[in-house]
Amino acid sequence: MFTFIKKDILVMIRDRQELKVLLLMPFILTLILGFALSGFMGGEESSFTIDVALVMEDDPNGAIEAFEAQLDEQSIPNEMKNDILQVAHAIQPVDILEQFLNSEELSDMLHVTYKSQTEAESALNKEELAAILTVPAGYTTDFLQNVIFDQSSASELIVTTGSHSGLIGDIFEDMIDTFVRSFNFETALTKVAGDDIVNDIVTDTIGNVETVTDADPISSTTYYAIGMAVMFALFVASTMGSKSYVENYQNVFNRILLSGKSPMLYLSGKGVTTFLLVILQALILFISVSLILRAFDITDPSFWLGTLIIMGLFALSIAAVTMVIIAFTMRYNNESISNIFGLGFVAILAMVGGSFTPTANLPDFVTQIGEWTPNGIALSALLQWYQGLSLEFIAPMLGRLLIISIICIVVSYLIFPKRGAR
Amino acid sequence: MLETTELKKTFKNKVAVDNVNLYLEKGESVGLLGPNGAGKSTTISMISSLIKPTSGEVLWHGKSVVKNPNIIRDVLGVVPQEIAIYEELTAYENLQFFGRIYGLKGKALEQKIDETLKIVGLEDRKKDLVKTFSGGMKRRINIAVALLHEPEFIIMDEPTVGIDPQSRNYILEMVRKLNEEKGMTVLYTSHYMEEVERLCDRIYIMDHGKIIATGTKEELTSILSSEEKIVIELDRPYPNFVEKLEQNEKILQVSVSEKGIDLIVPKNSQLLGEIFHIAEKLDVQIVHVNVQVPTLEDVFLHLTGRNLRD
Repeated sequence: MFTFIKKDILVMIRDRQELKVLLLMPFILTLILGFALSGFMGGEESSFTIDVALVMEDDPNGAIEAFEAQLDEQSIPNEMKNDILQVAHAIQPVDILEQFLNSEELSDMLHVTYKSQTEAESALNKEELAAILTVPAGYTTDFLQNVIFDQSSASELIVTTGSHSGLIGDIFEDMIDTFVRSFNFETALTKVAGDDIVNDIVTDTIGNVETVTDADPISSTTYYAIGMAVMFALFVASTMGSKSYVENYQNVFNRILLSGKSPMLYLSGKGVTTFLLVILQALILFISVSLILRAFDITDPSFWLGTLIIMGLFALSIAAVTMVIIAFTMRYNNESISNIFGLGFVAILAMVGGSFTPTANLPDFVTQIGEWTPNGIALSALLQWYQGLSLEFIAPMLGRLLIISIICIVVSYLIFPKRGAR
Repeated sequence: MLETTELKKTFKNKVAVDNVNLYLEKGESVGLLGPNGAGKSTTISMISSLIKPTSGEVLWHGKSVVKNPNIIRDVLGVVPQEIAIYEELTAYENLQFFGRIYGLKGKALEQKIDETLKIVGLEDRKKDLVKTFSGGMKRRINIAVALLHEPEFIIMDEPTVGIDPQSRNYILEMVRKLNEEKGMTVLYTSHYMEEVERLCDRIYIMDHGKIIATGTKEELTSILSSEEKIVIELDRPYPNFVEKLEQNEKILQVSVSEKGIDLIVPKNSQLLGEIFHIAEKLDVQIVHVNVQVPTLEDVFLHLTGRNLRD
């Protein structure tokens, strides 16, 4: 069989055009899709930082003391006074704002320093800051008056940006706006419920990073590297099918038959060659995106363990699909089978398998179909492995790949012409 | 050594080969002559065990090839009409691949590759990719692959199609040497009458899936031994002249050729005077007249009413 494999690999290597498509295109598409659709995906590590200054003109402690004094003057029962005081302590807006700004989720992106108004304006002018967030004097007092006694109108937080701030300044403004809206909503709920849940709700709702699953987040570059690896493996199947058609058409296959070698050896050789090419294609892609785009941590042994197990079984399933395509191509002496697969079916499989967009964004029935495509299974398994899920969790998917492989290999052996091609 | 009996192949109700009986003795060079679509390639595909006959038998030393294809595959070399090699590989890599699948390896394989390349005259081009070869060189490497395992019986299916006269001559000379000097049994199919005439001891003429005549060149041409051929070259086509000749009962056959008209007439019929008289009456300009002994081409025309290259 080694003779067949060597010949197939040599033929493939000499076909420069095909080689470029199979080895270079996955990298180029990963690059394009990874950058172009980075906002579409969750789990991005921030590639930029927002430097802001927090100017505190308010005196929250003084405001609480003043509020207590004001409450004492009210002619309401002591028990109620204690309840109101407890709520007032729980919903101190400046504390919650500071917790939000210094939260772990935003720490990579947001750098907050405390400055006076003058220092902050000077730094903004020198373009050292993207924005200034000012908490105006009387902010806490106005807030408590508004929330507890329905008196006064609430003060506003002030975001000041410079002409240089651009998109980053806008992002920060949006973040504060989202925080304020969410905080107001939760405060209103608390007021109605009289429950001390503000801290929990606010910190859980704002600034969380969306992830594909509950596990570690995946960057768009990593996602598309996997997506392209599994999609372009399908093109290997189509290419191998076309090359077999040429061998049949030009009577080379008949020559092989005349040598007395079993036709199954030829078919198995095609399968092994496809397996090797898929592994090679994925390794080249994963290593190059790791070195250039830092998509994977290739120094981590667990990366290699998962990649080799999952890609090994995936390559086996693609080899088996290739054998079916070749069996039909040779039986009916018709190239259209591999052409239809390469030109149309691969795109459909890639779409339902999630190579272009996470299947979570697709209708349920498409997701269900994708779960039974070799590329869809491999993509899910690799994503989950890189997100830190155990092999035990991935095992059912690997089982599905094995089932697909066995079925396809049996079908190909049954269909493949035994005597001659025609 | 090889015999086919009542060999028949039908494709979707179309009979491609119809009850073909032929035989080859060891060391013979036999031609299978016929126009394109006559059924030659289907016949040799059945002989070489690539296609199963619808009915009939192929026997190799009395044993059925249909039941046990391997009995012929080890001793058979086939040169298909197509260039059945890998154009992306070098000549050497092609021979190495095919040699290995025939079970050759190591020094024996190296030696065989060198010998075969020498036979086909491509030893200097062994490291070049086949796709850089001329049509004639590709044909030669196509033959080399079939010779690699030293077959005792070689089938060549139109091995000279589409190549220049020099390469064609080289290949024909090579086939002659393989037969005469190495004692290889050759079944040579072609629609070029002159190739079969030059190479083959015996000839089968095939048309519409049937063997319509068989024998040595002399035996076949003797079919027309009582006739002779008059080749008339004209300055331009004259349809009325053809019509008049066809009406003449003494003329056995009239066919329009590229340059004029070919006539089959009874030997010593002395029809030339009559032909010139008709030409004069119709104002036909005769450029050249030649009286010939009939060829295999004429035999084929006589048997089928068609030219070999139709």
